Formats: sequence, structure tokens, C-alpha cells
Amino acid sequence: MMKKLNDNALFLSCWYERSRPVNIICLGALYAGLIILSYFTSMNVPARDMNALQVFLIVCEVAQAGVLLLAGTLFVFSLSSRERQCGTLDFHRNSPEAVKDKIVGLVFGAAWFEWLIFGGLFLLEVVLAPLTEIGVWRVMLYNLSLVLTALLFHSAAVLISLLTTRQNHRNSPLVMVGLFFFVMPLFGMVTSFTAGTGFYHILGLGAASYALPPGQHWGSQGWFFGLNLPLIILQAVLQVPLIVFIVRALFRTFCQPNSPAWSKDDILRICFFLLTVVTGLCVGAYFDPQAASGILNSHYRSDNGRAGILFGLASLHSTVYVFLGIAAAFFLSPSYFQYRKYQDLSTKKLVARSAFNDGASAFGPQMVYIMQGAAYYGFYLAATGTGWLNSLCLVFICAGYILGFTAFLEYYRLGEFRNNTAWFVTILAVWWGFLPWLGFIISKGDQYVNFLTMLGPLTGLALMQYFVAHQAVPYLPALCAPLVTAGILWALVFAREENRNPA
Amino acid sequence: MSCVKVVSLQVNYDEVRAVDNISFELEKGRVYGFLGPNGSGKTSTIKALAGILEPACGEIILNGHDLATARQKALLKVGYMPDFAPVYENLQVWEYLDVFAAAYGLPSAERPGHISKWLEKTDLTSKKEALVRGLSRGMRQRLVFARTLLSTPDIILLDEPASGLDPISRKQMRDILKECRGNGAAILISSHILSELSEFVDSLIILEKGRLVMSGSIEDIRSRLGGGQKLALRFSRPEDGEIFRNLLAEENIEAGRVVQDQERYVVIFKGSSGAAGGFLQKLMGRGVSPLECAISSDDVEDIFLKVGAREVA
Repeated sequence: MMKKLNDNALFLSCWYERSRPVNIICLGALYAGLIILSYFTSMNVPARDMNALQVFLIVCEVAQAGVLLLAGTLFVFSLSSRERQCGTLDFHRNSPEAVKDKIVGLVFGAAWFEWLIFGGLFLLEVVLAPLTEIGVWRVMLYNLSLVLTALLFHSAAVLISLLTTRQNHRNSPLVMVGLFFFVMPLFGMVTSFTAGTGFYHILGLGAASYALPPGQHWGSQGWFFGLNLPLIILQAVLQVPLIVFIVRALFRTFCQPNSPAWSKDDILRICFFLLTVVTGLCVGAYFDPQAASGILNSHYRSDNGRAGILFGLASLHSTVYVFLGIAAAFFLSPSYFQYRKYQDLSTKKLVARSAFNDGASAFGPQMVYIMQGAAYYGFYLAATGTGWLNSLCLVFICAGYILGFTAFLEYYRLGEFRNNTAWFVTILAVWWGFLPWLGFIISKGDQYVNFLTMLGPLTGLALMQYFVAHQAVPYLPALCAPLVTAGILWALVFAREENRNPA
Repeated sequence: MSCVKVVSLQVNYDEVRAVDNISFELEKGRVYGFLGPNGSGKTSTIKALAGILEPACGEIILNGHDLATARQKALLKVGYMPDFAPVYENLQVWEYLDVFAAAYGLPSAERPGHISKWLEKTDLTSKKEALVRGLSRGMRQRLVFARTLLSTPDIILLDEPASGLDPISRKQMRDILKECRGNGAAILISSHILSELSEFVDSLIILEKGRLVMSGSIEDIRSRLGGGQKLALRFSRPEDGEIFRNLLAEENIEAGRVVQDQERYVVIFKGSSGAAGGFLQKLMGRGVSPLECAISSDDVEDIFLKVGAREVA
């Protein structure tokens, strides 16, 4: 049973802080001013083929998105950071309130004023919609899309703020803005390859076209694998699992403060989900007539358009595969604290030995991840029917980069250099940057592929994608570099493990 | 009746084992002094009991509920006060208390009454409408103390609660805690100001390097440490001093247990609590009438120094 909001501690703390009359008046005036100015600006745009009421309705819809998704997310981030910064989070962890109430309090309490504005504008839109071409149904779908996106953004803001803020250190909401701009190029990059991308729909941009009259929309259709889904359904399919993953992390953040936000199982589920999204949308783009007709990046255009798409998508997939695996390594590799705890408990037989324990090595889970990703390549191999050798090489190279980085991270975290960030950064820079650079310098026209250039993923992956796209066979021995490096690093990790825990 | 049971608790931070396999129980209606030098693991233990720190291993049972498996029930009647005052700077004093009254499930209709009561007890009524950011350090400490006791907890965990408080506020705090003990609460209090613990602590738990060095009632610990009575004497005539020294030799009291400060002697007695009284009786029986004479037991500070806990390396 959910508590009433006036009995919800975290909701109340946000409510009291934001309900000062001066705050309400200033913010309310700011939002109203923005709506009015946007309306008059829109009315002044020449060649606008809409009546004043319809323009006002669209302005209200855009304002809803701005207030809830932008201002709301910043308030959620700011007030969640405050909990951690001033130490009151410990009191809430210590309180007997149910964790779900704590999460609801933070997610909805911090942006209650924005939700109120959103609700008010929604009612206004429902009244105005029948008088325009947009209609009530599209307004409802648009609002549903906004609610889903807001839940995703706000819960993500709570999680990021709780994980990144330290006690007595202020965490600026600019972190959120910075993160947004950091992720944006990634969205841009992906959009250039395909008409519809996961990130595009995860941001709710697809379903945002419900804000316009029927027949007018931007961006892609909802192609996912072989299905053309309604945009709101596709958005829900992508956003709801992410919201669930974030809420699961928030539960752990409250109940297990010294454990990673996600368990190893959860990380693998998230990776599986993201690989499914990428694959589903890539395969969807194969069926999408709009994608085949010229939106593609010119690099991948060819006489055989669909084959070009497939190779382009294979490149995209391998990039996502490697960098997702590298990101997952940060969660899958145990911290020294978790490792020690697991060793103590398992020695005393208080916990069963499991590869999925927070303190266990990342090797097992990463192998599962690698197999997940490799299985998805089946789609490409089956669809192309050509270039299978290069595709197979690409899978092995990806696996080498993922395993190599994970071994290095584990070696760093559990070894004597664990508090020495400079050591970690220097070795990584040499391994991924300087040595491949040296490889370029000493290569003599043999297409740059040698043992050194293939060492790091930044260069090796790009070279290999080029060979896949052009169906050329590279110098095969050089392709062993990532797997050999990974093998050496894991041997070091396991050797130290043996020394530490002699049988 | 025990309401807190800690079994083989272990808390780790990276390379440091802050709490190493300690076990103890707290009974209702008793105040426990939690002693140990800096870094001995007091704060880590209290945080683990409050559910803020995950133990590496061990079991914590609060009011019959395992903290690891029934967290919500276990924490229902636990009040925790850390060594600094976490507050919402932009909330008013009553709003701050209202937030935490709600967190402990007090119905909204009853909350104002509870808040007024605790504001009065902690002498903050005049600051009810003030913003927390305008409070002094001592006032913030009192506010957090009020927050801790707002839900009338059965288990009260206090980590250096008196730091930043003036003498009057300290006395107020002691009186409130005595009242809580009278109402059946078990209180675990960690403090460096040992003299203030002496007055109302019933039992002690002493840690050193994360390990439990000694625990039990003060009387029990005194006797385990070999009694612990001090007899202070001052003589008016020089011959009385001679008789005193002879008696010391007859009673086999080593020189190390006698401290002389000009004309004043302090004799430290081990063994039964009547040893000092018996010695004084024998002395007076030989015609000595001291100018000053006082018998006192070891206080918390003496016990702590005797145990000789050292800091973590």
C-alpha cells in the first residue's frame, strides 16, 4: 500500500522547500512568460499554415515538455543531490518507511510544481484540442508519451544524483546538463546511420510528433525488427524496462548502500535489453523503406542499398557491443571492499560461491555478455550471407577488447595500485592510444593493420569495421592482438588470485 | 530483556577492518556507554546498527527482527543520532521535524503535538518558525536530538551527541535520556567526554582496534579490573603519616598503588568494595584522625584508562 503524499517524508521535504510563496510566484511567472512569448513568436513566423488556436495548443504542448522534462529533471537532480550532500539521506535510510515510498517521494516530490503545471496545461489542451485539427486522442497520446519520458528522466536524475554526490560536496545540476550534452553526440551519431534509433525513441522524440496534426510528423516510423509499431508503443517498449532497471537500482541504493547500484544479473539484463534494442532497430531499418531510400550516411551508400545498410548496421552494432561491454565492466568488476567481503563470507561458508555475487570476478558474467552479443551477430551473418569471415573476426576482436579491458580493470581494482588513478589512466593511454599510434607510424601501406594498431578498440574497431564494410580480408595474424592481450591480462589476474588464496 | 543482539559483527572499509567480530546485547531500560579511542570502530558499529552501513558479515537483531531480512520492522523503533547534525538548511525547524515524524509513521493529525512537545523539551520553541540554516551549531544538535526521540524509540543510538552543546544543554540532554531509560528504552551512547557518561551510564562496551575489549555493568567491570576504590587521606600530624606507612606495609599494599601529592595520599584498592573502608577503620583504630578522608569508586574515565585501549595503527 502506498502512503498518502502528506505522510511521505521525502515528498514533504521537497514540498516544504519548494512551496514558499515567493518561489511559486517567481517560477509560475517565468513559465507563464515563456508560454506567452513562445506563442507570439510562433504567430510571427511567416508562412505558418495554422490558426491561432492550434498554434497556442502546440505552444502549450511544447511548454509542457520543457517544464516537465527540462526544469523538472533539474529540480529532481538538485533536490536528490541535497539529500546526499547534507547527510539527511542517512536518516531516510535509517527510517522504517518503505523503500518504494522513499523513491516515490523523491521522484514526484522534487518536481511537484512542474507536475502541477503539466496537469493544468493538459486540462487546457483537452478543452482546446476538439477545436483544432490535432484532436483529443493525439493530445492524450502526446501526454502519455511525456509522462513516460518524465518518469524515465526523473528516476534517472535521482539515481545519478545519489550515485555521484558526496556528503558535504555540492553537486551542481550542471552535471545533468553536461551529461546530456555528452550523450547527445552519441544520439546524433546513431541517427545518421539509421532512420529510427533506440536513443531517439528513448528520448521520446518519436512520439512527440503526436503534438502535430495527423499527417505531419518528423523523424522515423516505429520499425522494430519486422514490425511497424505505433510510436507510443515503441516508446513504451524501450522506456518501461529502463524505468524498471533504474527503480531496481534505487532500491539497492537505499537498502544496500555499500553495494553497486545494480547486481551482476541486472547488468546482464540491461545489456541484453540494450543489445535487443539496437538489433531490433537495426533490423527494423532494413525493413523501413524510408531508411533504404537515402537517409543513410553517404559512407555506407552503395549500389546494393540494403547490403550497405547491413554493413553499416554491423559497424554500429560492434561499436555499441564493445563500448557497452566496457561500460558494463565498471559494474561487473568487484570493488576491493566487495571482493574482501565475498572472500570472507565464502571462506566461512556463509555464502555460496557464485559468479554472480557482487564480490566475484567479472570473468563469468562478461563471458555471458560476450555470448549474448555474439548471438546477435547471427542476424547479420544470416542476413548478409557474404563476408562471414570478416564478421566472425569482428566478433572475436570485440570479445578481445571487452575481456582485455575487464581484466585490466579487475587487476587495477584488486591490486596494489587500486588507489592510483594516474597508473590506470597512463597504462590505458599507452595501451589504447600511444601504441596504436606507433602502429600507424611504422605501418608501410599494408592498410594500417598490424599487431599494434589492433591493440586498442579506438583504432582496431574502426579498421575492422572498414574491412567488414568493404568485404576485404585483413592480415589475419594481427587480428589476434586483442585476444592475446586479454589472455595475458586474465592470466595475471588469476595468478594473483592463486597467490592470495593458496589452496 | 534484550532488545538489541549483535552477533559476530564485522565491518570493513577497503583495507581496514573497522569492526572485527564483535558480539554484545543491549537490554531495555539501560544506558550503555560505548567507549574506545579514535578509530576503534564505535561509529562504524553504530552506523551498522542503524542500517546505514552494510556489515561485511554478522547478525544484527533489533527488537526481535533481523536487520538484514526484515529491515523495515527492525528499524521501526530505532532512533539514531550521528556525530554531526544532518539538516535541511532551507526548511523551518517545525517542518524539519514534521518530515521525520512522517518518516516514522506518525499520523499527520498527531504530528504537531509531538513536534511541540519535543521543541519544548529541547528548548527550541522560540525557533519553531525559524529556518534551520539560521541555527547555531548547538541548536542544530538539539534539533537533531529532538528528531531522534520524536518517534519514542525503544532503541536509541547516539554517536557523540553532546559535541557542540553548552553545559546547560548537556544537562538537559542527560535528563531527557534518563527519562527515556525510565520509559524502558535501551540507549547506546558513544562519547569522548567520559565524565559526563559517569553520571548515568549503567554498563560499558569498550572497543579497541575494532575488537571488543570488555563489556558489562560498571560494577562488574570494576570488580573484573580488580576492585577499583580510591582512598584519599591528608594528615595533620607527621606521626600519623608514619603509622599510615606502617599499615601499608602490614597490608602488603605495593608502593605503585600509593600516590603522594605533598601532604595528600591516594591509595588505590583492588578486590572487594569494602577494602578501602576496612583500611580506614584500622588506621583510625591506631589513633589516627585524618584531616581529610574520602572513598570513591573508579569512574568511567578511570575504567577506560585502566583498560588502556589504544588507537588503531
